[in-house]
Amino acid sequence: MHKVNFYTINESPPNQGVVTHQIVDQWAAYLQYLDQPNYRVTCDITVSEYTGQDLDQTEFNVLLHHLPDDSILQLLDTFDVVFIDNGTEPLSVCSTQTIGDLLNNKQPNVYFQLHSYFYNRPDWNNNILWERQAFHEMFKEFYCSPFYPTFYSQRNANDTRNGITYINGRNKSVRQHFFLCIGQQCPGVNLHNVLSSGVYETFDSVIETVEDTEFKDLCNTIYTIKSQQDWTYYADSILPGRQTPDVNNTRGDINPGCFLLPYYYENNCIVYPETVWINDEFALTEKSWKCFIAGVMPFPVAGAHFHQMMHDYGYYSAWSLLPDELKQWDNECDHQLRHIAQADAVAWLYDNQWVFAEDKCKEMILSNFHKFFTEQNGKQAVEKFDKIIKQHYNSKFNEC
Amino acid sequence: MVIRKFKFYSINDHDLGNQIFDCWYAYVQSVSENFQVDDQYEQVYNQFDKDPDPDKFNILHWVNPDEQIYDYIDKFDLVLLDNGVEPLGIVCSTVLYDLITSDRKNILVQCDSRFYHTQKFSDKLISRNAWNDLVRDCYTRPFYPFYYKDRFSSKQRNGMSYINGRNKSVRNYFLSMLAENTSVPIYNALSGQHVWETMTSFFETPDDTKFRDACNQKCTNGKKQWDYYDQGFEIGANGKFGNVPPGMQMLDLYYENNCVVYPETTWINNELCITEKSAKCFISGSIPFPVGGANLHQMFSQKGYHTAYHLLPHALRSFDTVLDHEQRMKQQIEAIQWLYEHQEEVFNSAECVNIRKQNYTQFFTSRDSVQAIEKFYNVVEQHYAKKFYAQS
Repeated sequence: MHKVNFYTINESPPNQGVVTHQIVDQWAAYLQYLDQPNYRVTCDITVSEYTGQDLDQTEFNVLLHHLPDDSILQLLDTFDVVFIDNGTEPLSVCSTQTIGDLLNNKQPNVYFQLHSYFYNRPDWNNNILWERQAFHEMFKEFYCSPFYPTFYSQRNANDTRNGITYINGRNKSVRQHFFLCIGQQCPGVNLHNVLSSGVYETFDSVIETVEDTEFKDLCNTIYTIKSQQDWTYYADSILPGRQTPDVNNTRGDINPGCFLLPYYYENNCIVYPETVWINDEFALTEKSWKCFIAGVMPFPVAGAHFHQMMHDYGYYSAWSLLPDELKQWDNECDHQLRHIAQADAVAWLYDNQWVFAEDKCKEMILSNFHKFFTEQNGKQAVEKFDKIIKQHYNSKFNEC
Repeated sequence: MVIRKFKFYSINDHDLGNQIFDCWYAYVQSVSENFQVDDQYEQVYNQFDKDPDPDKFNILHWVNPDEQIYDYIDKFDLVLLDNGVEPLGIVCSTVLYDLITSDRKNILVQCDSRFYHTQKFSDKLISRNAWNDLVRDCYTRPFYPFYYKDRFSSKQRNGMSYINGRNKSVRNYFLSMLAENTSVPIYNALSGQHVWETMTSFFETPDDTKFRDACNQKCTNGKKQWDYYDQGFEIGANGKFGNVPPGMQMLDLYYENNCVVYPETTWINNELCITEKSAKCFISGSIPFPVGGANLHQMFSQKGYHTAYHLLPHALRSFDTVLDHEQRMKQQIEAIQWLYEHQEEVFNSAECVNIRKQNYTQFFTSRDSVQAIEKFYNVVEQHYAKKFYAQS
């Protein structure tokens, strides 16, 4: 390859501001890796903003488009390859209708940078750089780099763990449903719900199943909904580094949810709603990562097949500690039925906390810790990116 | 509420050691309620024209100090000296040595050394492993080519190798003994046949001096330019992310061999500095056998890392405490040969698998810096209390 031109659109200066654009720098590093022992960037790479100018069609042009609307459809033929992204967020919580449509009607030169993996959907998964988890890279920095207060707040594992806590995040209506289930079915479980005093609406998603829509509509109807304006979570972020007239916010900000509450070190198991709630979608966030760091067994609450996908990805949840007859709810697509069965499983764990003292559980916790700090998920994403670029480049210029 | 004021004077804005200010601030945040810092923390560069404000707690940070520093020491509440966060046995100056070993109570030294025995000056050391933070970046951030190299490969491993760095005379001594007495293959591409003089160290014991003098007399073969740092790699398109020295890259030997024997940067007795040479073993999953001064392997263990020493029969471990370098090296060679002859049983053992895993996780979870920053924080707090609260 001689030259590849990347174009960004509708965004702050090219290659800044949108975390997904970092894939270009990462690809340059990958090209250096392939060129060892010389470590040269073996291709001329340019990055600039696309403002509707005519492109030199004798060159290879790639569009990086963040949260596109329908106007992108006219550009698909202008570029050799198009990468659409949502800031590597889970698709169900951050998307546009156009992204959903293009995912379902795959164009040969369109690919996606999203942080979602789907159960039994190779047709989607193969076109998504889902392995690139920019937030995971950032979160790991918080706990590996001495410039962040979070780095110093880690504690050694506690040998005298006891109990189970449910930690709620933003209390969306679908979460309120499970919150009530666990409160009724597991009276011993400690409930931590300080972030929300009411119930927030659960938003529509571009990839809902029939069961998801029914459940969301039901929850939005039966629970009192609070104004979204009351949600101050992001305003309460911590700014690492000094705030002085000459130096401000030197290292970005850290959301309150990235800090470890004492429960993570005191309890045997943390039950929590993961960010994604619809069936068959898998994405891990800081809610799970905190469990891996603190060495506590996670019990995420999400859509159907979530625990199976988590297990296949290489992380263990408390689901793996359950007797087989109490594991079946993971296949249940009806959210209400699954929530009731899940709460029963939590109650069983509460009554049988000896499972957390077993070697099997300790090995799983150690494995989660080890994988969290050392996995190279970004490598797989960049390898995929490289393959896509080379395949289209070779096809255009008839290179082998 | 009284707002405390801290002012940190650095001599310039580009030294690696300056980062300690930001790390210290992050630590202060971590121990503050809701991570909100009410006190004032200020960092300034090259501002020595006026005397420091007596209402503030003033810290002077000076990298590789010369005699000028004596004019300032008594004006500051605390003086943080710095050798570029390098090992003290390798990088030090007369002034730095004089101040480390002095009775002055307001001196701290930021470096990348730990000493085995409690030295008179060990209270003064802020042993921060900043170099390994850089190595870790190279292997954990996708902006570096090294990130894409497979880590911790579980592929079939076989054999042992000795990988030499710059062939200093003390290393050449060991290399020659290894070649004569074992079958371990030697990789010495950086230096070829040349032998460089081993430089004097301010922290040498009589055993170190005797050995260095003997090696320099026997081994050196004239002056030659060391162009290692000119051979670094630019990172990113047009060097967007700076450059790194060649030693950061991982040779395939690290993945192919059970165990890599190598000279660590420090060679004098009782000093430890864990550099990229060891880090590459931790990352690749090969068992490290560092060669350095006495008690090196014990000190690795104290830092949470294990070396091939821990896989040896107890009878063959005694070399680590031997202060006489020639004797220790002789015994080390025996230990290496034993490992070479017992590879199948030693490197396939459950203990060895655990060591690989522990080193790997310990390196990537990066807890080395906590103790250093915690110590700096505590010393500042003690001196602050002494200055402002002692009279009351």
